[in-house]
Amino acid sequence: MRRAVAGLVAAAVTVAGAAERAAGPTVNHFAMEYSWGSVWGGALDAIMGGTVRLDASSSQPKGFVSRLYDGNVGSLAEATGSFLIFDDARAAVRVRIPEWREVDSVAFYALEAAENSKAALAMRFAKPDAPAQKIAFKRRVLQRRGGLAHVEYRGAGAHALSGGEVFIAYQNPDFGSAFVGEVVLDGVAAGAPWADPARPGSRLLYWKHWDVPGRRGAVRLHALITKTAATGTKERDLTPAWLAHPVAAAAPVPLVVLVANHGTVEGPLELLGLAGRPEWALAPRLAEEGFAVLVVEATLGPGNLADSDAQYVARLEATLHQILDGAFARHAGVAIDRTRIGIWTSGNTAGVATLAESRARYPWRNVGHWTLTQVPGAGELRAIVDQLNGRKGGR
Amino acid sequence: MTRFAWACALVCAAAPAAALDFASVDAYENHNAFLDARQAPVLRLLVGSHLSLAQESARPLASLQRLYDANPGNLEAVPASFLEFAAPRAVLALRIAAWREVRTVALTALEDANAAGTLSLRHVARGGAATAIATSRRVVERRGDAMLVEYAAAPAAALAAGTLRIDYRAPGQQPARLGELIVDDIGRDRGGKRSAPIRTIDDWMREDGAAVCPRVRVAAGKVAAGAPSRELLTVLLPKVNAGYETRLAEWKTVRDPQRRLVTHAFVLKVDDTGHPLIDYVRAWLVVPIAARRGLPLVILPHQGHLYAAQEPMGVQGETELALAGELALQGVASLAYDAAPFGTPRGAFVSDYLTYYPASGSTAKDLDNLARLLDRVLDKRLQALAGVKLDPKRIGIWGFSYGSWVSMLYGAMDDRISAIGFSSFHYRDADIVPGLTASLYIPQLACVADPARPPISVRRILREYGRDAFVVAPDIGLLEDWVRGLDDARVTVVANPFGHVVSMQERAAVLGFFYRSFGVRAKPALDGPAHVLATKRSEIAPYVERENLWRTELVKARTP
Repeated sequence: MRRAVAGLVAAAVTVAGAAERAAGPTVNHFAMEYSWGSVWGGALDAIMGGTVRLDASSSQPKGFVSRLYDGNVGSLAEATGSFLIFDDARAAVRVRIPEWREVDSVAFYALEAAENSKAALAMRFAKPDAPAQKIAFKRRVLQRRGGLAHVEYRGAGAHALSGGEVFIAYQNPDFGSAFVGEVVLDGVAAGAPWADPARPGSRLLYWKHWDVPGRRGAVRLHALITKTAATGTKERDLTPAWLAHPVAAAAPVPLVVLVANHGTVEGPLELLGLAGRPEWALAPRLAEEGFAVLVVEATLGPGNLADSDAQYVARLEATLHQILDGAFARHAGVAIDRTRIGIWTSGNTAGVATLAESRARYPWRNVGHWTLTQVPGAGELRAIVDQLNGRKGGR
Repeated sequence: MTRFAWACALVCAAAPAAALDFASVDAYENHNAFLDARQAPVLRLLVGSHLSLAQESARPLASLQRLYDANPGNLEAVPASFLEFAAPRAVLALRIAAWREVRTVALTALEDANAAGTLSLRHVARGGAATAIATSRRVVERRGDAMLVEYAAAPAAALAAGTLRIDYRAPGQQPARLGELIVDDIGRDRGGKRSAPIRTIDDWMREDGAAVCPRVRVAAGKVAAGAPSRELLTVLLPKVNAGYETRLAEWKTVRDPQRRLVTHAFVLKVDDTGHPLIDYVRAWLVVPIAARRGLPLVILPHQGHLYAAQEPMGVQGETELALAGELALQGVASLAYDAAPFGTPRGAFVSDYLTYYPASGSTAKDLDNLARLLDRVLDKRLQALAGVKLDPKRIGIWGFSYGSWVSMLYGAMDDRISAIGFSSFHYRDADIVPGLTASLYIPQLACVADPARPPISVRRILREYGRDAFVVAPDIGLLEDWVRGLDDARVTVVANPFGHVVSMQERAAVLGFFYRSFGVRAKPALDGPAHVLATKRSEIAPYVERENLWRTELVKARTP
C-alpha cells in the first residue's frame, strides 16, 4: 500500500478561485422546489453555491460547506445536528459577491457559551484593487439554554457591497470547536426586512445569462431570482424570472410581460419553450420580433401560499423595478422603452392585467389574454405585436 | 398570408433549425423531463421536441401535445384523448437527427367503423431523396361505430437523418382525430407489473424470497470458495433485461465557453417496461472545449439522494463533489448520470422497480445502466457525435457515499476501469448484508447471508483489484479492517478524519490520484484548509481528542 499521504498533502497547490457554477435556464425554477434539509435549501444552493468557501486558515468542518447556507441558522434544541462543527476553534469563510449583487447586510450565526464566551469575530469586505474595509457588526443573543447561547452577528453599516469578497474570521474556544449555524446575506431565509430602507423594491440574488442564436440575430436570455419580499417564507420572498431581448437592438425595445396561468406547474417554462406545449412558447417568438420579454413566476401553493392577483402584481412590480432601475438594469445594459410595456395573460390571470393597469406603477398596456383551451394562432400573436408596436390601442 | 400560415412560419417545419430555441442552451432538459416520473413529460422531450405541424395540415383544435402524451386514445373519452383537426388532413413532420435510430413508427386515430382513413409516410433524407414507407392498419378497439385504429410502419433499416412526413387523411369529410404518434415504441405501456409494492426486505422475502432464494443459493453454491468476488457478484447482480438493445433516445450539445467545456446531455433507452425511471438513463458527458483526442474519462456516480444527479457537474449540491469542471480544465472527460434508486423529487423508484424485477435489486439495475452507458460512450459513433476520442485504456470511476458503493462494485466487475476511487463507503464487511438488503439495493444478499463469511467483502475486493485504486475510509477502524493483508502498491487506502464528508483536501487528493494514474501533468488545486488523510491510528488521534473535547464541553455546558 502506498503511504504517501503526506506527499499528497504537500503536492496540493493552494490555488484559490471559486469556479463559476454550471447553470441552465431552468435551474432557478427547479431550485425553488428542491430542499436540502430545509425548505430554503435548493434556492439558497442556487444563490450561494460556488460563492462560499473555506479560507485556508480555517479548520475543517465535519460536514459539507453547504451547511453554511442551508436555511438553518441553528437550534439549541439540536446543537450537534443544526450547527456545522469545525475541527477546532477557528472557522474562516470567504463569500464572493459578484459585481451585480448589492449586499446590504451580512449576518453570521453561531453557538457559544452563555456566560463569559471567548468568541471573537471579524468581518471585512475587500475588492480586488482596494484596501479591505472592516464591517462593523452587532452581537445579539437569540436564545439561551443551560450554558449555551445562540448568537447572531449582524453586520451594520454595510451598504451595497459588490464585486468583492466578504471575509469572516471567527474564533471560538468555548467548546474547543467552533459551531457555526449560517452565513446570511440580505436576510434571505431569515425574513429580515430590507437592511437599507432607502433602497426598497427588490434585490437581485441570482443571475445567469446565455446568448441564443436566432434567425434575426442572437437573443440574450437571462435567468434571475430576486428577493421581492421579506417575510421569511421562501415562496413569498423569492421570485424566479426570465428576461429575453435582442442582443443588437439599435433603439430601446418595448417590453411585454407574459403571465402564465396560475396553477400550471411549469407554465412559465412553457411560455419560454422550456417545457410542454410548443404552441405556448411565445417568449422566443416575441423576442425574435424585436421585443424584450419578461416572464415572472408565481407561487402556486401549497394552500394559502398561492399568489392572489394582488400578491402576484406586487411580485411583478418588484421584479420590473429590478429590470428597469435595480442592479440588473445597472449591469445588464438592456435598453427598454419605458413607454411601451405590455402585459399578456392566460388562463385564470386576466385579473392581473386589470389590477396592474389600475395601480399604474408602470404604463401597462393590456395586449391580450388567451384561455387555456385556445390554441394560439397567428392572429393572437399578431395582435400582441401590433399593440406593442402601437398599431392598435390597448384594450 | 393566412393567419395560420403566419403562425406556421414561426413554428412549423419549414426552418426548424433556425428558429430561436431557448432549450438549446439548457443542458438539463433531459433531467427535468423525468422529475414527474411520468411518461408524458418524457415524451415531450423524446418525441415532441422533434415534431412539428406541416403547412399543408389542417389546424389542430388543441395542443399538439396530445399526440405525445402516452395516451393512444380512449374510446370512452374521445374529446379529451384525441386531437381533432379542423379538416380531414393532418400532416406532421418528425425531424430525425443524425444520432436518432428510428426503426418503428405508429400512429393511432379515431375512425368510423364504416370507412378507413389513409396514412402516407415519406422519409426525406437530408440530401432531399424521398422514400415512401409502407404502413399497415389494424383495429385496436371497436365500440359501436367508433374504432381506435393503429397505423404502423417498420422500415427495413433505421431511418437516416432527415424528416419523416406523416400525412393522414380521415375518411370522407370527417375531421382527422389522432391519438398518439409512437416512435420506437417509446411510451407504450407494456404492463406486466405486479400490484403489491415491495417496501421492506421483509416484504421482499415474503413475496419473492421463496422463489428467488433457492435459485440464488444454487448459483452461489457453484462459486468456488476462493473464487474472485466478481463471480459471486455476477450471481447477485444479474444483467437486467439482457436481450434489450440499448438505444440513444435523445442527444444535445451545450457549449459553456466561460467554463471552457462542452456538455453533451443525452438519454439512453435501456429497457422496455413502460416505466420512465426504469427504461431510461439520463447522462452527461462533459469534455474540454479544446482538447478532443485521447481523452481520459472519469465516471462520477452520484451520491445517495434524489437531488444529487447533477452534483458532479456543479449544478446544485455540494461544491466539494463538483469534479467535472475541474477535470475538463485538465483535459479529462467525465460522465455523470442519474442513478436509478433515488427516483426523482416527484417519483419513487425502488418499490416500482421491484414490481417489474422481483429477482434483483436496484443495484443490479444501476450497474447494468452504467455498463450500458459506458458501452455507448466508448462506442465510436457516440464519440464521433461528441467530436471527441476517448482513451479506452484510461477510464476511471469515483463516487462518494452511495456513489462509493457503485464505484467499488463496478470497479470489481468491469476490467475497462483502470483507476478506481471511492470515498465513504461506511459498512464493515459484516454489516454489508443487513445494510444493503434493508435498503433493497441487493435484496438477494439476504438469501446468502452468512455472518462467518460475508458474501461481499471490501477487504477482499481491494486485494483483487490489481489496478490503481484510491480509497478513502470514513473512519480509521474501517481502514484497518480493509488494509489487513493488503500488499499492492497500486492501492492506496486513507481515512478522512471527519467521517462521512468530502473535504476540499480529499477532493484534491482524488483529483491528484486520477491525474497520476492517467499521466496528466496537473496539480489539483486545494481551495480550502489542509488536513491529513490518515493511514494509521496515531494520525487520527489529535482529531479524536478534539472531538472528545467539544463533546465533553458541550455536555458540561448543557448540564444545569
